[in-house]
Amino acid sequence: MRRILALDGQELRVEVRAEADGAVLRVGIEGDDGELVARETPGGWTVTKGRHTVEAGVTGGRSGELVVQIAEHTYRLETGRGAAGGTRRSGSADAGPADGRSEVRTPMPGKVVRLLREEGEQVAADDGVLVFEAMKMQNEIRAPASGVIANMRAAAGTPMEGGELLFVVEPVESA
Amino acid sequence: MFRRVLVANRGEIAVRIIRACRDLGVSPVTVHSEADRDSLHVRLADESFEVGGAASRDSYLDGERVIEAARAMDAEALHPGYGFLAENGDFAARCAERGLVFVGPPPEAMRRMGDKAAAREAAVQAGVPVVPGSDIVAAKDAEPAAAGIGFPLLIKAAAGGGGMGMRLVRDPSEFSDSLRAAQSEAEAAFGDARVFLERFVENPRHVEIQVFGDDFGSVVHLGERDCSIQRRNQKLLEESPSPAISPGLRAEMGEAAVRLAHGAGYRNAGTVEFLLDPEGRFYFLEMNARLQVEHPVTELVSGMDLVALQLRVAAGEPLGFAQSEVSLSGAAIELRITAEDPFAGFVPATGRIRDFRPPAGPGVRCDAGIVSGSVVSPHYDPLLAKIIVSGPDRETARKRAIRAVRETRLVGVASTLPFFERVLASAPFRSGEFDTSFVSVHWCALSRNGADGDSPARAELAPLALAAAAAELWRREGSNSNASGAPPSRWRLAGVAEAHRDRI
Repeated sequence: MRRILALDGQELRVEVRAEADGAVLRVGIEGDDGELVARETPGGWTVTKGRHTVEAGVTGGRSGELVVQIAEHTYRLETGRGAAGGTRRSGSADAGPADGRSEVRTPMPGKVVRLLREEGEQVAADDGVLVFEAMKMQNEIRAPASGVIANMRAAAGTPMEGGELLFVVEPVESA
Repeated sequence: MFRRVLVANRGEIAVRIIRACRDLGVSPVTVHSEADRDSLHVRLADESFEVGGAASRDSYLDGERVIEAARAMDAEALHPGYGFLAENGDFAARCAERGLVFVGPPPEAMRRMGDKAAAREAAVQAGVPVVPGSDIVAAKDAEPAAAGIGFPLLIKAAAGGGGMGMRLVRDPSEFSDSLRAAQSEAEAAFGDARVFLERFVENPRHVEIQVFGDDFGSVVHLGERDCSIQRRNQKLLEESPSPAISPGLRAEMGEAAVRLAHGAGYRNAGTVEFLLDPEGRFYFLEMNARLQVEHPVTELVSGMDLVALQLRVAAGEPLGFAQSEVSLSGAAIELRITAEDPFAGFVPATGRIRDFRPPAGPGVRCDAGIVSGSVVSPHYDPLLAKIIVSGPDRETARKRAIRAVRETRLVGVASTLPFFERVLASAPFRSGEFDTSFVSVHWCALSRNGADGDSPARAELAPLALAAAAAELWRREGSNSNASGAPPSRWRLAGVAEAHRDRI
């Protein structure tokens, strides 16, 4: 199997060959001399390169993305055909539809504790917009992108179900 | 001792209580929601009763269903754990009416401590220092009241919460302006302009005392826990002893906590929380009338099983030891592993845990409510597991904590594990000199450190990460279409054969 993966915007060709019984995979990476050996484990793979063996946890991120965890390091790899683009570096929420609006919804049932920003205010990506409490834990809900807050549905003290719309961030024309 | 106890909780604390029951030869039974049918506490209990839907209010918070479950399974006592029904005095009273022993303090003591004003009053009566403050003040009396309390002080809205209508005043000359502003803000936010004053304790540590009382009038304390590493009043790491406390101060705070518990007619396990200022002055904050999440820290320095002791006391046994027999030694640190992403503002994470391997080895304990395959749902508290380490001294415990975090494997949901690795290794934590502002002051810089993609270790491991991702793609595509042309894994073939055998 040959594929192109993108890490931090850099594209690399990889090749995977299975041993006869499929329990051991040999992986070659463009620009990296020597072969890597991968063995499947629950939740991921162990990978050996020379005398170095690590445990990698692998989970699916957004579509077309795999998240690999090795020790305290996290790697996000783009795997889709879109890997050719390779430059999208999105924030914390789902990328919005084509018009650039981003909807932000409650992560779980809970209560809006207070609003840090109001409808119509301009925000930068990652700015805290409101404080949301679920199971006694308070969390700041941040803007996924820069823009203007539109359609603020959240109000302080209101209990909400999981997945309910909190607010929308609309892009600013000049942005 | 009871023959059978209902554990009215879920997750790691339900597992913890089930273990204490087993150690005492008691049969543990439990309740669960629809979403928790397959969870660890259900698997470990002798029986479990489904009390309702996934939402807590339909299951774990439905006191009537929980009491019915206890009766249906012939339990004599009910242990509420923490959260859910644990501090509900009415529920405790209802248990008693229905002939079920509630493992906790008497309902009256619980109600009194659950009411902030009544608890403060009880502290004053017991001669326990409280943060100097006023009752509700009229505008004309406010200035002399403020002078009596001292600066810096907070003006707080009587109807308030969440910081609305709150003003910090450092300089007496700014007081009257701030008072007007706070009153109008309170009026606007709550339709109630009444305010009260409270001294602002600067750079406090959060230090709490574990107390224990029995039915025979004995109350003892088991030393302190320092819970200063917290985020928005949510504790993340707790340790004992506190790096900021001398034996003299420990005795003083312990005696104050015991006086308060005595005065309130308190029985069973409880925790008295204090703010400790940099000069070593302490002020009563609140009393938690239940078992705390962080109780294992005290277990490791005292050598006692607090949950077993709770059950013994609830069954009418005496504590069996005096204050002078309590001996605290070594140091312990607890890390709360929650399903929250510390690199994204601690936003809660949900999903299936693909693999969980808890840490082990000398001085390491792990109280977990999850196993590989568990589903972290949005319905409940995100606490997955607690890693508790101990050693002869704080530095040994700290190094063990780092070792334990590195050994832990948790794949599938984001967690606070990387938060702890960085905090434990940081200079301010190592020094022991910090206060409750630790996370807000230091986490921003700590989270960027080594996470910016430039760290040499990260770059060196990148090819291995690529290989793991490539292998994962091969597996996923191979299992769907076998497009790679490679034969399917023999494990998978064996699994298919197994599945067919079941059908025949």
